[in-house]
Amino acid sequence: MNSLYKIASKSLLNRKNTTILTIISIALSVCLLLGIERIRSGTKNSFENTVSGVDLIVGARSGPINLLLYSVFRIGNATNNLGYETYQKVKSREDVQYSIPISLGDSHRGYKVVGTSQNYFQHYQYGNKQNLAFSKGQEFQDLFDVVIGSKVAEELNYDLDKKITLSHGMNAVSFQQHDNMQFRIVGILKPTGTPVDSSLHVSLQAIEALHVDWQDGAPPRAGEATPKESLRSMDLTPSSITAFFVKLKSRMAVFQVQRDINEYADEAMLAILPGVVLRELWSSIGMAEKALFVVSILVFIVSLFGMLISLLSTLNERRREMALLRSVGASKPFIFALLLAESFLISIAGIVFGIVLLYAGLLSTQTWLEARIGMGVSLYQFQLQDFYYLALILVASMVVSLFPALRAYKKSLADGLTVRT
Amino acid sequence: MTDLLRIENLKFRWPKAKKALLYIEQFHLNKAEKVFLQGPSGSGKSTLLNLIGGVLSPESGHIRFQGENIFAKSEAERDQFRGDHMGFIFQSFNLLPYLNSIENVCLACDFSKLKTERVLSRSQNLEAEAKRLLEALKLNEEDIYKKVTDLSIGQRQRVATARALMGSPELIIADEPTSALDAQTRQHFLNLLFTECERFQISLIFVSHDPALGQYFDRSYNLSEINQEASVGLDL
Ligand SMILES: Nc1ncnc2c1ncn2[C@@H]1O[C@H](COP(=O)(O)OP(=O)(O)O)[C@@H](O)[C@H]1O
Ligand SMILES: [Mg+2]
Repeated sequence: MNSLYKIASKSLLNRKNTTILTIISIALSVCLLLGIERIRSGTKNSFENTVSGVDLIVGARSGPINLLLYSVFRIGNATNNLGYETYQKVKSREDVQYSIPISLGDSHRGYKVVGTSQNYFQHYQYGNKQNLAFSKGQEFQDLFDVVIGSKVAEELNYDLDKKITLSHGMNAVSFQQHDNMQFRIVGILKPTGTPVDSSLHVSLQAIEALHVDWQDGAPPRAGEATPKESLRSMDLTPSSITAFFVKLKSRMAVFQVQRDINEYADEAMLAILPGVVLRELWSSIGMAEKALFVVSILVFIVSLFGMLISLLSTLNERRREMALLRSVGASKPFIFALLLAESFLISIAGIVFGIVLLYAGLLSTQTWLEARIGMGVSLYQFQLQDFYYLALILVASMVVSLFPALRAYKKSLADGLTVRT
Repeated sequence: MTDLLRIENLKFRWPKAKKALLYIEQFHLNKAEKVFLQGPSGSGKSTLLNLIGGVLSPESGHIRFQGENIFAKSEAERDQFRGDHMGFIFQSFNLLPYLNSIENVCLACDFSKLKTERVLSRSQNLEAEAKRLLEALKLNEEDIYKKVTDLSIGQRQRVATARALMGSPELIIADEPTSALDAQTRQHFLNLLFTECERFQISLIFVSHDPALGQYFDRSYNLSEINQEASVGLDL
């Protein structure tokens, strides 16, 4: 056993260049396979946890995916709103722990404006049940306060106390920007890797205020906009919201509450379980994920070929080595074990080096990845799955090297002690 | 009994060959005897040595080594036996390029406890013995620590000889060890080999296509004299 590893490692060192190249090619494929796999599962995970810690999402009756898209991803529009009264009724149910209302439909330079309550900052969760956090400032207090997502701040180069104008409607460039609708940035959220990053958040009342002058469906004429002071003194209780998130006191009640909401007589509502619909949505758009996986498998196969070629190219030289070892008393199983031991050492070295590369890569792109994928933890933790992959890589490269090993072995048997060329 | 090796009715045929390559009714080698076997290329010299080494098996017949039938042993036992009781020198590629001379010589002990014990019964450790042998074969201190690929062919053959001598096996089998050497180096090499074999009472089977070497040995044969199938030997 001792001399086996001694001879194997010295023989590998002797073929330094091919050995190093083979190790690098295995390392790269380990790194890519695990890296792609992490990004893949991280993306999936973070997608499926775009919103977490919420039991139900409720909106006007439409398709579940549609509701999910506009409430969580802020894509598309609600076909209908919900009465504020109805929301109040559901909210005050015994089994509801808290709820987060959202009111959509307005924008600022292409970014969505979300009307909501303080609950949003306290309870809205994403990823691994992470709460929203502020990188600067705090929640909105005043009617004309706005809290912006990290991406909004970054891309528009906004900072605290900047005054911005919000406009009614979704046009990126609004024709009607009124000074009376100037809001002050009081908070900037930390990156989450979710659509929250590209949203602006104001109170539900602020959304009402935006709409005061639009009661007849047309923009206010120049000089006729209601001044800020009068707006403050108006009753800005919303008449409707777009959707709301519900957290129940007990998850056991979720199906009961869902049924109650869906069967609510006075208004047509739809309650969905976000996790279920998110997974559904992912499975229909997650094709890229499969493509990535195929790519990483292909990379691995290529590296196996590299290893195979390098082993085969030294085969003839090895035959003489084997014959020599046989002459000093090495048995056939020893020869076979020697060839396998070399592949084993190469594979292990490749795997270790690959893991080092992976972590170096992950650490050096840490901030970028976290902003993009938003799942800090699962990216760095070694998962059981990773061990499966490594075991698979080890087994696969051993199996591949078994082929030249068997050839060298067979030739060495035919050669005996004298290699005929 | 002074018999070391005795071949009886040994018949060997390569799997795909129509006729047997070797048929040797009788051949024997005494202890400490040096025998020369000459034959043209392709006459079956190396094949015979592989049979003696227990790497090939005959169709019929035996080879007895100190009375024991080699072919009654299992394959693993034969490998062990070869490692314990024999030393080999070949024409070329005698050394593992990734080991230095000392390590190449010690390789003989890596696969044989018996050789290791023999060495340790008279030397402090394996390295010391390897060094002693290399020096006895006129390799100087400097050459001993060179990369083996930087040694001359003659020097490499002497390192190989040191390995064959290591642990004093009963038999050294030399398959054209001088065929790559020039006349002067060849003579020098033979002298050193003989001296060491005599010192340790080692028997030697020395094979070559060059009949001129026969004169230096206790006995000298042409393979065709002992091989009854010799008429078909040439395949050039
Ligand atoms: N591994 C082998 N398989 C089949 N035939 C072989 C093998 N090795 C040698 N032979 C044949 O056996 C004959 C003798 O070869 P060999 O013993 O190497 O001769 P020598 O050593 O005298 O030159 C040749 O005809 C050769 O073709
Ligand atoms: Mg030969």
